[in-house]
Amino acid sequence: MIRNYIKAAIRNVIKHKKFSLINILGLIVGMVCSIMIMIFIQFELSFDGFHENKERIYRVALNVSWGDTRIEGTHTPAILTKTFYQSYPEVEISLRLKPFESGIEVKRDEKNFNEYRVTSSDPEFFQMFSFPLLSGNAEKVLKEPNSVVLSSSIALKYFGKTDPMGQVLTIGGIDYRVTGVMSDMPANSHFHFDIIVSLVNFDGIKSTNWLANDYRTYILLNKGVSLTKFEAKLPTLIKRYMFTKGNYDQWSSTGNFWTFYLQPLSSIHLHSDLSGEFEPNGNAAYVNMFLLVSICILLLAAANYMNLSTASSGSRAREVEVRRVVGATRFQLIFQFLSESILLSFIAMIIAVGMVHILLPFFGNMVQRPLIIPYQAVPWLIPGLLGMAITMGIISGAYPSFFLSSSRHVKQSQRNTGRISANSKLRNTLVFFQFAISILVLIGTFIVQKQLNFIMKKDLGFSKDKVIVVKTTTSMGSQSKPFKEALRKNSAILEVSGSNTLPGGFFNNSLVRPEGSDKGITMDISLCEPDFLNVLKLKMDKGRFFSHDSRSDSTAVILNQSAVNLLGWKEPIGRTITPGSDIPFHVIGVVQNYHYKSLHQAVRPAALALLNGSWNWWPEKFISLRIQGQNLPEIIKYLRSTWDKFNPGKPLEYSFLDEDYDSLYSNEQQTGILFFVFSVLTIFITSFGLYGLLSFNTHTRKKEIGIRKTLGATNWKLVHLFSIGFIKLLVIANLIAWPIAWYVMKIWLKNFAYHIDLKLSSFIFASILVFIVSFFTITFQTIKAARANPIDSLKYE
Amino acid sequence: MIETKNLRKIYTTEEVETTALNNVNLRLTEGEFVAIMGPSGCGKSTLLNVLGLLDNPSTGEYFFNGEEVGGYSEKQRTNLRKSNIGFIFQSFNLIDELTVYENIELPLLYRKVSPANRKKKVLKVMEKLNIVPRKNHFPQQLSGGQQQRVAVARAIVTKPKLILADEPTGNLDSENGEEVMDLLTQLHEEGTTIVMVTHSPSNAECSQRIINLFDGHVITENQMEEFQL
Repeated sequence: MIRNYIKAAIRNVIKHKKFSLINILGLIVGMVCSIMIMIFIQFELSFDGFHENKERIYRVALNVSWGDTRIEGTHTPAILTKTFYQSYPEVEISLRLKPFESGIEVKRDEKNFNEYRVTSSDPEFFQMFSFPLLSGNAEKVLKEPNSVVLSSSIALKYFGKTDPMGQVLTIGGIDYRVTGVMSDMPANSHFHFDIIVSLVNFDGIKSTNWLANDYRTYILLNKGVSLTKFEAKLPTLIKRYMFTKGNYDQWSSTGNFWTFYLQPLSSIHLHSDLSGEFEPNGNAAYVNMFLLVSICILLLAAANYMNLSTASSGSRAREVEVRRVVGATRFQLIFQFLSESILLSFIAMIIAVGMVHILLPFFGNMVQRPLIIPYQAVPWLIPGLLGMAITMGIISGAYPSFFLSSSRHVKQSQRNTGRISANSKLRNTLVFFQFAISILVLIGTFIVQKQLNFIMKKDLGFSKDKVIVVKTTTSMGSQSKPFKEALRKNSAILEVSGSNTLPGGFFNNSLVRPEGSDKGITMDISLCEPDFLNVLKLKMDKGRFFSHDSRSDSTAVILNQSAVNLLGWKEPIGRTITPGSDIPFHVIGVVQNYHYKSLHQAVRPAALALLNGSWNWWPEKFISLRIQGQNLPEIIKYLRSTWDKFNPGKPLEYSFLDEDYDSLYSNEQQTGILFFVFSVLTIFITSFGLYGLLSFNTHTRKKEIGIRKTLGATNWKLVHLFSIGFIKLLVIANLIAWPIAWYVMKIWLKNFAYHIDLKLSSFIFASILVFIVSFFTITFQTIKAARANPIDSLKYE
Repeated sequence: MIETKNLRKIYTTEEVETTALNNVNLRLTEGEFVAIMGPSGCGKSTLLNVLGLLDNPSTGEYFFNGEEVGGYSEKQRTNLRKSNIGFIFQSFNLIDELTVYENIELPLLYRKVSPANRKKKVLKVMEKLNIVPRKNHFPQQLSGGQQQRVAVARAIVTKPKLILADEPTGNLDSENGEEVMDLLTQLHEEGTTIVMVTHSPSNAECSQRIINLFDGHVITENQMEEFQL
């Protein structure tokens, strides 16, 4: 029986090639998109899921509100680990990590590179996390001072085929012995390190300063520990251990709080966006959005199939009646047509999987994830895909099957009334649904693009174009000054300045006390040189910037407008702020706010101090060059030769400030590209479906077209006849899509502290575009039918 | 075998009510060959659909082998039909996507006959109707006469007690038409009850009795003269 159905199905497909192609193509597009999105979602959800102890591993995060200072970050003090071990038996392991965030120089023999995926760690790293060790013992590899574990790629880079175990590697000028080699960390980890050095001999770990938040702390809770009960103890930890001299209750009664809380390991990638994340994380909101989009596209494809199948049902009416006559029950007919749609769905799935293999690398580039089809990671993948094919086949084929097998429908077709009105309500609903989705996705695309343009082009308060950034991972020491002077000799290099940080990068924040107050406020600190003003084209609001000639600038500070507003100083020049228990710094100027962090946040209070001045907490890490002219290769050549002269044997690493800064918006750029692609696909599927529907409409109404033409109808009159129904649906679709789009995009824009206003233009433009594409499709198909000789359709009357 | 009492069939749409059959009273015995004649639109095909359990009467009674089947559900009608009735249509109504063999095999598939038995029965019927050389051809590749022979083969492969033929020679030339009538006559001689709708008086002569319909009524010979039929 099934063989009979399959034979009939395949021959039907071949007989109605055009419609079969439209149907299969729609299903393929829907499946390819959905599969790729599912692979992306699976990858996002799989982060950190490979750790054996994942259910019990938590990162300790910090939430502080102290006066006007707010901190939400991943930095914690070294003493926290000691406190956990001493007083909290719930904690099996407390692990500190301190990455070298600006990179570090690594040397072996003549090999000399700056490495950026380097961290120091307590010895229990491999007991907490499940990163496989290829050599070395998990309990011992980081136990000894000056021990280091390398990833297999780094081991190959520095040692070639020689066994690195026991060998020496110089990291940041210090010799370390290789005690272990681990597999490269997988892509779906929220951090990636190639080099892990032991923290054992670091002085910093002995610090008892609760305000020295220099480490990331991860804890492994003992089995059976209640997370809620343990977390409830954390507020008392602050009171007991941090406020040993102060009165915690009095301090917190004014609304202040200082809380450690726990982030489950598996939630970090998609749900954490704190200051101090190791790497840019994903975003659960985007994952949900993509899931929604993939479902929409699948439903669009299913709607197409339903529409085309029911529209073409007239041509199957005779076959259905014959089968009924010779003994088929309704159930058997339903089963036959469902089998056909499932078969078509299977064919589409096979082709779709093939296309996914080809397209996935491109999609992975778009979403900036190394995506592969997870055959091993997801053992139920193939059954899942088969299930998807069957489900799509059933969803797409259910209504047509029930419709086609109904004797009421068949009799109506037998009487050949010319219009199958019984199914036109559903068809209209499906077309309306497709229009609404297309408009919704297009509106989203335009608004995302507008917001992206806005944040890319907004006046940031500084100029990021034409700035080359040289990374000086290890301090150049006395060579820094002559290096910069040599650079200035090139006329294409206008300004040069050293700094410890740059816009878009990581900023240290410090608690500072303004003069006349015991209350501290937190500010983001940049250490820079006098030429920094001109390199970034910052604008002064009051006072002056640092000067090469002023000795007192060593204890000078420049505040931004947000800092001045927070302090409430009308006349800030000459007033002082004091970092830590240090000396006071006098304010010499106020710089206009500039967006040194992304536009997701408002500009925080910030201060600039002189590099190598009295505020010497951090070394020079970057040398920035403002350039002019178009001959970039020549400038780079000069830069390289000058670098080599002053830093023989050290690799030059440089980037462009605009690219570095724009990468803050990688999520949004991703979204923009994806929305664009999805809107193209949505329009494609909708027009394809419309084309197929119209083909049937014009085919079944061939006689009517012939009669109307004979009676004098023009081509445009016929276009009007066929299009008016769809245009009414389009108008109604707008009425539904616009409010939904407004609501959704309003919520999305709230992610940005600075965003566009929602304007009608995006909505109108989206609707016009859908109208144009639909009208073009309708016109093309109708005029083609209208050009036929009426004699041909009226011949057999 | 078949008896109808005051059979009515009314088709209702939003605007119009059409009475296709009006108080039709019929009796057919087993083994009879009956022709139904009448002008276009008189209800012949409707009567055949009701007799063939393809449709239910609106009112009245329909007895098939002594059972009142007028109110049967679709499932009950399908079961009864596939066990007892074969159909032959004017426009053959073969499925274009199936070969000759597959078309003939179709009723047996719906009766869940085993593959081996199906093959045996289909080949036997094909031999009887001399269409074995065409078994792998599609209907589009056959002439009208050949297609009707395939349709006849499909109708008789299950050895039904009753064959309903709706204008079986309507789309055929005289030679092929004669061939089909010969087949029906032969089937009748073998004991099959045949009800045939026809416009052709010469075809009607092959039957044992003619039932005349006019505007949904069965009319007598006197009424035929009165209506000048």
